[in-house]
Amino acid sequence: MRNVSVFTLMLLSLLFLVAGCSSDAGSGSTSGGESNTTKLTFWAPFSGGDADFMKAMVDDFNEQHEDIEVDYLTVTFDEYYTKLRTSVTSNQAPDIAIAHSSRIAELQSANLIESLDSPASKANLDWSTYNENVVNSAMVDNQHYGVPLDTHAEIMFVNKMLLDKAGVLNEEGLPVLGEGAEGFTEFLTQIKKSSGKEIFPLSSTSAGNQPRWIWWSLYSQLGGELLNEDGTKAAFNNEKGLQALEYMGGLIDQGLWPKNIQDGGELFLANRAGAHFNGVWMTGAIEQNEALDFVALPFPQLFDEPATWGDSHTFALPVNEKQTEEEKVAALKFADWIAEHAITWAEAGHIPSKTAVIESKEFQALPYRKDYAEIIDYVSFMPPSKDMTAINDLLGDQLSVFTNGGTSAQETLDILEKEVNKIIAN
Amino acid sequence: MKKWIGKSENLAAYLFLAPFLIIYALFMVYPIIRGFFISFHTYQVGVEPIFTGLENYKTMIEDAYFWEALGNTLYFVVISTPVLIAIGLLMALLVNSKLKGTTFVRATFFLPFILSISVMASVWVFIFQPYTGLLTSILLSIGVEQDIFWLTDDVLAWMAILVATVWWTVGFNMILFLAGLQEIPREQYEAAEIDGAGPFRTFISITLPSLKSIIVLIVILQTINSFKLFGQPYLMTGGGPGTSTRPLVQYIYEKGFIEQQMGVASSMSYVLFFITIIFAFLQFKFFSRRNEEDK
Repeated sequence: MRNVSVFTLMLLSLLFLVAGCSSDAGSGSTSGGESNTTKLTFWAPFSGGDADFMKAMVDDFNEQHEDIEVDYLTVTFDEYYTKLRTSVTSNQAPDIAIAHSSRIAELQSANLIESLDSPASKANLDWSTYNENVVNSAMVDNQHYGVPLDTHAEIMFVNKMLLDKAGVLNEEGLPVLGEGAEGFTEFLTQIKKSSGKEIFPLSSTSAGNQPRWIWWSLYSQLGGELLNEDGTKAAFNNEKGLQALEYMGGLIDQGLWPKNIQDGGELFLANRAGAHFNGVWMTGAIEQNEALDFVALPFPQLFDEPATWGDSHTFALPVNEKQTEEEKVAALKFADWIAEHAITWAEAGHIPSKTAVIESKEFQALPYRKDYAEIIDYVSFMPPSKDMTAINDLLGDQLSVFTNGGTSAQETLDILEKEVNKIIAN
Repeated sequence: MKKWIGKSENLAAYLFLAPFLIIYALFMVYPIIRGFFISFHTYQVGVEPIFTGLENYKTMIEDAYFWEALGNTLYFVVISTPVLIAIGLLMALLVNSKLKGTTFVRATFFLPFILSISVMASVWVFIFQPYTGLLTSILLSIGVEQDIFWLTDDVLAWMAILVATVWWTVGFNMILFLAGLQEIPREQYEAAEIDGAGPFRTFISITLPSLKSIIVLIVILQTINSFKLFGQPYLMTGGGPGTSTRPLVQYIYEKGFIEQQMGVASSMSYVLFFITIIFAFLQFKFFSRRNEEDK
């Protein structure tokens, strides 16, 4: 009995401890008391080159602004959104944070981010200076939730040396692509014929995101929709969805896109692939390799209309009760300034969200980027849905089973339709 | 008076125990209770939990991916446990022999165990990856033209995970076996030698029976560890091809932290927790019986 009472005592003291922790641990944001500097915390999930470019931009911003000081923190991508969520619930959210536009609906539905409309107008942020397609990708219920920084979309890289050898490179050093889907198949077939087994006509990673991005690009070119209009049901198990998927299956069956590629980018970098589908961020990585003579182009149009998978890094305001209106306005001024100076960001390969940046001399002088910048007008974003992350994961897994030969195209779509509906219903 | 001294001694003991107990309660007991609570709610970080009764358990039972992940975990337990124990024992016998250089071998066998999982996984992905991996390059150089997809064929992927796991963790079992081997009295072996028993007979009649309790311990520890499989497939195959090497812990992680369905994830955790409890209980049973026999 005595033992029990000591234990109870300890539990009680523990309770006090817990209570003490949860009351007020102070938030990351503090508006400088005596000085007139507004201090902001900023979180982003960038790594490698992206993180360095962002750091450089934040440093420039701080140097040029007396009244605002931004404290930049990178969080590893794997735990980024979890950390963002928990920071909001524990009232420790950063003043401003990067969010992908594909996550906006999810974050908004969980009350984790705020509408930007009121602070944006106070910060004199002019939405019309941004590309409309990208701005729309971060909107829910006609309200802005993200200040877009870029779009990072699926594009095509080709190896000039291998294409030349296959006779599918014209005098301007551009690939000769025939009309539509058949033309593209023919193009890859030529590369296959002219090279040995160690050359991949098309190298894209066979698992995870790539099969999903390629399928979504092709399906969007056919005008397909992922979900029905009110986002309550899957809407891709149809002729168009099948056509897009079967085209991918055809490339695999003919050995034009060999199975089981673990890292397609690595093969392209090693001069072993004719064509390569990947995100724009690969440009920055590929151009480091001087032994590689390549061209970066928009994702080829194989069907009715130009379209390609894409997402966008946007600046969002995490919910934070302690944040003052002044801090919100300062945060949006910061976001707008970074977007305006995204020429540094473009060096990583991303396409800047502000029309003026794309049109600037500096951007046009950057190699490769301008060759695919046009896609910003027709990038096909995933629809806004609170379940998008779960759906994306499911699509990635199941389409990888397909590219691996585990299921037929029709089976894949049947399974996906059933599971997507389940996710939405939950 | 005597009673009073006893009391103060108790108090001192509790004081010394307090830091551990507080941390244990805060980071073990509380999360376990909290997880149980969450498993009966629709729960998302940032959203008010809604009580839904057994709804999460129903969702879990109807979820084909849950059964697949549980099946994958059981499969790994079945294939990994015997291999890890047999190889661990063989290695222990080897380094326990009177050969020269066993200290060096002992260290070499144990060394992988201290590597972090990400380092270990990178090494094995580099070896196993298709087209450009070390193993494929070696096979090509000796004339094997056929591509073998170690990480993307569902049977081979499990083998790859198993090989990596054995290489990484078997050293720990070896150390436990070694401790067991060194506790066997020398005289028994001498007696066996006088009786004219060969090395195989000695192993069957003396070594193995003497190791009985340590084998039970390792089987149970190993089984529980194998049930907790997560990092190796997550880093080596991503749970693929598709979802065919995705273990339960990875699925729980994805459900909870990617899909934000904490409720369902908690109910799955409870299934795993329950299975682990059964093994812990078995361990308790075995060991308490052994202690009684010793008396």
